Amino acid sequence: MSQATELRIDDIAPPAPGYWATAMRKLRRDGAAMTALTTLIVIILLCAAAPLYARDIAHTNPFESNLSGTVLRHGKMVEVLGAAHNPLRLGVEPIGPSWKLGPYMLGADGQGRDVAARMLYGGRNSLLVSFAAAVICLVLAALTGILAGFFGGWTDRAISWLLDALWAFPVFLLAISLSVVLIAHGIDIGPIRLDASSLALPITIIGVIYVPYVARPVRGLVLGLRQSEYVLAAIGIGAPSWRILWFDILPNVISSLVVFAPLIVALDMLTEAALSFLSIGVQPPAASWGTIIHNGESLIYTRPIVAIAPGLAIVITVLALNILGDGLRDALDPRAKLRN
Amino acid sequence: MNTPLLCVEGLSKHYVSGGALSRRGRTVVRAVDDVSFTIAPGETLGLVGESGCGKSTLGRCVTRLLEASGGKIEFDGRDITRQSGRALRETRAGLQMIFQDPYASLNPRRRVRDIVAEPLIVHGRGRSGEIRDMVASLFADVGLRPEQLDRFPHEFSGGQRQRVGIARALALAPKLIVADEPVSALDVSVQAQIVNLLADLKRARGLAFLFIAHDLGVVRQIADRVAVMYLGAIVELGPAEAVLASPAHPYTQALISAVPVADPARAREKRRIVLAGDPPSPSNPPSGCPFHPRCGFATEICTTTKPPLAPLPDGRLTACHHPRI
Repeated sequence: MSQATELRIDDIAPPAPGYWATAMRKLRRDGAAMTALTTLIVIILLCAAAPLYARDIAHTNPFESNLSGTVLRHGKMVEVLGAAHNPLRLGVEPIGPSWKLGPYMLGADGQGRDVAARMLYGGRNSLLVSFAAAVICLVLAALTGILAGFFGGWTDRAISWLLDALWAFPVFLLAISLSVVLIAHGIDIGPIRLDASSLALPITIIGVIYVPYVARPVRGLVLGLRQSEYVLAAIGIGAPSWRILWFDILPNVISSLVVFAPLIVALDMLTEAALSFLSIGVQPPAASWGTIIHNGESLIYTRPIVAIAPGLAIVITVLALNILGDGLRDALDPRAKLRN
Repeated sequence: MNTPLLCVEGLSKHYVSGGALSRRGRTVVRAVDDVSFTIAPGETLGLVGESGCGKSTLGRCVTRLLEASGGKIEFDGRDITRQSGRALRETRAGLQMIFQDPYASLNPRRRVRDIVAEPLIVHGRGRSGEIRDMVASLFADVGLRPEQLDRFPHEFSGGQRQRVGIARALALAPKLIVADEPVSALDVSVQAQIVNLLADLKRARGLAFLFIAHDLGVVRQIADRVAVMYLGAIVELGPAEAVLASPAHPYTQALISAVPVADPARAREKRRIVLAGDPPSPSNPPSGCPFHPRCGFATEICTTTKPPLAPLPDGRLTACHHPRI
């Protein structure tokens, strides 16, 4: 009887689905985010299929130069690297793109290699570096941000000092200095031995430099959660710190990390492209979108497609990642109600 | 009275801000300043005072959610002021808290079943099947239905959420519950239901309460004794009927005169004491009696000497040079 006034119509409704299920439902109704996600999946699948393309369509090894090869184009055999059209006939002009599915669809680069095949192989490296670096960044940021925010005191001071020291460098200055030193010599510290051409180097460098940008907001979030009444209630119950971190802190941190993730992948992809363009990221003969742009730089007046194609690939991927990030933010915001 | 369950002696909580480099220098905010009281087993002490007087800080110091700056807290015969680790965890099983905001005190990501089970799991009070049954019976005790167990906090109304908070506090069968304004965030119609529930639980389980509120009407319903706080210190402490019917401290009188009266005939007779000004800042309290700048009865001595909390002939305590008897 005393409860009659508290009865609400939704008392007879089925219990609500969990937090993540609700977020997924919201995301599925977000057209822009789903388009972005589909685009990303298509790009990833295409890059994964790089060896198939190189073997069955392009019939070429994209890592070997082909200076004197010929290819069938419009019914006649054409040199992959033809003579240049300038008045002095100096240098060479690589074969241009064609609309037909086949060898040299996007033309050749300065060494007669198939740009389309290199794009797909390069995309593999660009995606691998940016995703792996983002994982490193998010894991380190979550760890440091949570420890600093939850335990406070000296833990917080030590971690914050380290992050500030890292933050004090301009991102690209730090990335470039680290890359120049490490890629020149590789790493050889005790059990850790990395070859200068190893992808692990750019992955680690790019992963670490963005840690403060995520760890700071995580620390702030945890600092706020630490004072929330439900964390106080958990302390009042006598719950050990690990239970509070696991049940009360981490779920909240994870949802903001999920929002950060695509944005960090996008940032990492841009950084990787910049470093590779400067020859201090992915090392030849391996390719990435950044190294292909670098190869295309000298052909920018004769065959601009060599630089434009990987540039477009980066723009589309980064744009898709950012739109997906926005969609995730909206989907994970508990205040945003599910619209029917 | 038999041996007290909770005995607080000279409890202080000071916040220091600014340091040697600060332009204003060091300031000390005395949020709670030299507070002493006891609570007997099964007794309810109502703690009233306006916002910012240190009630909640005092409650959190007692439950060890805040570290006291000075003084002693004895619970169930043990000094818990500096307890830590396993001993503190055991103390906490007997000393639980209900929070003011039923929206903020429940983790929005956990189902209420898990929220209520948490204290039982933490203290290893049974296997998962047994804990399931205990949670269901706690749910029934606070007037919620078992089919609501798998819902999330946001699916409940404010009153229902507060019932969940109460179930969590009851889970470990504590001896004392510190209820920090448990009804002030609720609608008036729901307030009465929650106060009745707490009163029922108090009778049925012999629970003692430190019941913090700013609403004297709510305190009247549940408290055996009442302590009135002003600027971090207790100014009047005595049996609920005596304090509420014939307040001795001018501040208590002003508080009581502010309670609305339902009967218009009686309301016309009532004299309303309106206090001038705001409560002074606890970082810069007035000299002498902290209440003297707002008091209608203040004299010379009030501005220079702080009155001690002293017994009146009827046994209650008041901190006033000119108690109104």
